[in-house]
Amino acid sequence: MIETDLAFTPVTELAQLVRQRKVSPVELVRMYLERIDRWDGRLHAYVTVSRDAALEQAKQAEAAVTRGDRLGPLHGIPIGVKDQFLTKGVRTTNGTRALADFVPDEDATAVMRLREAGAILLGKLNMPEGGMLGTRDWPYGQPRNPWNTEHEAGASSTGGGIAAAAALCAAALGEDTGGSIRNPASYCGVVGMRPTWGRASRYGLLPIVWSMDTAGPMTRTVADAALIMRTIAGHDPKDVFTARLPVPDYVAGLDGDVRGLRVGIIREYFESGLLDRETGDAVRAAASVFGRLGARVEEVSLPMILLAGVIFCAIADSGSAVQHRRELLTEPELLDAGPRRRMLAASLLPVALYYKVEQARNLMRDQVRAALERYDILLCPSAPGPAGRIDRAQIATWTTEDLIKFWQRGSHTSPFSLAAVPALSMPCGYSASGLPIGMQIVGRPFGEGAVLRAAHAYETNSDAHTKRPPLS
Amino acid sequence: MTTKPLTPEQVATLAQAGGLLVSSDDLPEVTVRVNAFLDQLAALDELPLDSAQPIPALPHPERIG
Repeated sequence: MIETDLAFTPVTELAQLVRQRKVSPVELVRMYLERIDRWDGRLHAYVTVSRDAALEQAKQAEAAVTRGDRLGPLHGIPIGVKDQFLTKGVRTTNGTRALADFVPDEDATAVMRLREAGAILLGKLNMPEGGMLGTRDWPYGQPRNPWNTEHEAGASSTGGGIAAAAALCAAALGEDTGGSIRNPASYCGVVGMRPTWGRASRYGLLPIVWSMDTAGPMTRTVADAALIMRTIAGHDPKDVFTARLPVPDYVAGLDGDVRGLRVGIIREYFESGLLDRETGDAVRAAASVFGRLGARVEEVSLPMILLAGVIFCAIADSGSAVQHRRELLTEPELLDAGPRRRMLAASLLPVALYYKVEQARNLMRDQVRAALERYDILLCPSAPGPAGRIDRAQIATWTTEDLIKFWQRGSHTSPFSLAAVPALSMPCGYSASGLPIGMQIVGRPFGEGAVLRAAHAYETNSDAHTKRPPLS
Repeated sequence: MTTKPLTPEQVATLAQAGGLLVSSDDLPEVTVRVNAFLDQLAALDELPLDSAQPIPALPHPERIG
């Protein structure tokens, strides 16, 4: 197998190859480190590369294979982790200059579970400051989309989307509050899943919005996402809001059968005038694949859905302002102008308005969940179009029009964060200019298995996931 | 917007009352952002909010804890 093919090999297969002693963990780590050396100077997926520690862990993993030890499901698999998760002994910046030298003394629970399953931490992945979109001057380098480096890579699990797409790791761990896994997954052409809030622990995750932050996988295949999801999911005594429900074997549930599945395709996105033609066509074509496989596809209306972006940002920007209040009060210059201005503005909203926003959030939740009582899954675009150009995203001073456009774009992912339901983005096509187009599959609370099963059935009957970025 | 937009001076005064300092560089955009929020969120007044609880959306509270 040539090295590029090995780098793009799914985690499920790499784990088998390690187990069968056909590939060694040291070989895998060296290969991904070489790819990082070769490509990341331009792409900026990583904030920190844990070269020596990763090689040491790989040697230990190799020794365990040689000894015939019992191996975890991710034994010897090199992963990248968003720099929002605490990592023991590895600096964790949260994308900010303020934490440039912060080295935690413990792992976030999701990281700890990945390590216990045998994964090897290659490094920490780039993100906008504090997870806030609108960062202009990225403290750790301007991330670039591997499909076209003049284009943005999405946010805020930006490095995860790039690293998974360009095979700078075998898989990545991301965080999603309002779309932070799904947006970069969509822009970079990979699979990204936000689980139900309460399905995976938030312990050790530097917070954005306590009631919406979630940890989730960013991978090149649905089966890999299922494997990572199974590893990180489950109750954690350190996060009182994690559910005590048993974690299903999501990988075993990928049987390809969607016959009789009721699929609701959300009408408002197609009637909004926001969607570009190629994206609309690609998502409708994906819906027809479900139809051919025996699912019943119908349109469903969620009248409030396009208000989600502004509702979400009122909550998220206020939450971030609280998280970063010390910097706002004492060292505002440490924060990039984009996030700083977002937080300052949200700090000035009337409390009575915030109360109304929380009421509206519950109405949104009711609408989404009512639709999910009639349909097993919902289908919609992950974004109104493919990734935009970096030079157009670098707005010096935002206007009202810029903000409305930003909130409208956010309305494609944030409704499902507000509703606290699982949602997955996966590639469903490419624009004429060669940029990935993403679609979202949304499920019922704790219905990650159904979402992954539907996504896998689509993946098996389509070819969008087989393309690789031109740099490879 | 049904009400008159806030001026930069009013926004600066509001910030000061909350203990926040908004620099002269930041003030124009912060003003735009506050006014845009107030304008766009005015649409919430059209929603049936009276019976809606202002609590974060928790998934199946009975399954948690």
